[in-house]
Amino acid sequence: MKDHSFYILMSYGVFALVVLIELYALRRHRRRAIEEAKQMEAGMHRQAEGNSHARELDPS
Amino acid sequence: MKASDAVKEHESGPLWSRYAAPARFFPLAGRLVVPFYVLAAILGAIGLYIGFVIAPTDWQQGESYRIVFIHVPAAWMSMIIYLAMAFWGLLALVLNTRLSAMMLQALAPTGAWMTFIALWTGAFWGKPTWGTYWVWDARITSELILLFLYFGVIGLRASIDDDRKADKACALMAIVGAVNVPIIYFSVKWWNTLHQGASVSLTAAPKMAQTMLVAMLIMTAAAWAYSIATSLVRVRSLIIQREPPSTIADSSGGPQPAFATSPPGSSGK
Repeated sequence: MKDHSFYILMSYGVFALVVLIELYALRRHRRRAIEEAKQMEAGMHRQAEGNSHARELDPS
Repeated sequence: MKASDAVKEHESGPLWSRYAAPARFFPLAGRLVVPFYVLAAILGAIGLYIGFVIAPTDWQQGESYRIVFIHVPAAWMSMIIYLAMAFWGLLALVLNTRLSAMMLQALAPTGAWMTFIALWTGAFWGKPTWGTYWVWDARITSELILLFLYFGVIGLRASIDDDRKADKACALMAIVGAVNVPIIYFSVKWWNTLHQGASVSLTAAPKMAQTMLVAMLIMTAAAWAYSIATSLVRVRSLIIQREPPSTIADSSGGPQPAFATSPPGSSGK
């Protein structure tokens, strides 16, 4: 019977590689999302501080 | 809107409606990720052990048939995930729920990977069995079209800046593309194909040895668990990206910024 280990290795090897790539991509996606959320929150704080400062300056 | 308000909005409805709020679903998804990854790892190890150690060598195909333990689960998942995407797309269009659209978006990359794995392993099974890596056979070609449909959904989502418009376009594409799934499934019955017919069916006895079947079904369960865990991780990232940080609830339902809620097993940085 012929040796089919090359075909089995290529199938399971690429499958393992795909799983690793996907897990890495998920990790990067999550990091990016958290970074964006932090920036958004910081922007909202700055805007809120700006509004309260403007109210203090406004005589009416 | 505060997290508590967003959560209370769905508090009075049925269970499924309660978790339709991204703010409520976020912590639930976080709690489910690790159990599903652990389940996938355990089932995968058991399935591979049975498939490679206990299952006998096939008298006709030799050792190459062992590719079935990854090829068939990946092919099944590629179709099931697309149908799940169409289901979420339908909900997104009919009920206009943000979470449904996010679920659709979260499933697409995993579905595309599963389709790629099914095609790749099929090619490396085809060479020793049929003598060729590729033929323009009805089953294989329709599976390739499924891969392009996944690319279409992912590309469409990335090319439209407006989230709501992108959600609707992707939902529509997922629903229309679902017509390809029965074509893939029945292609081996409708046309004369080089690809073999179904070895496992709900209406007929399986055409394979019991140990091979058990290993294949366990690997399929592992693929299910992996796909669910991966989609939950991705949907959590999408919720963080798309929902205002102050509306995302922690596990107690109280307001807490998303980036302060680290999923189990991650550093949260």
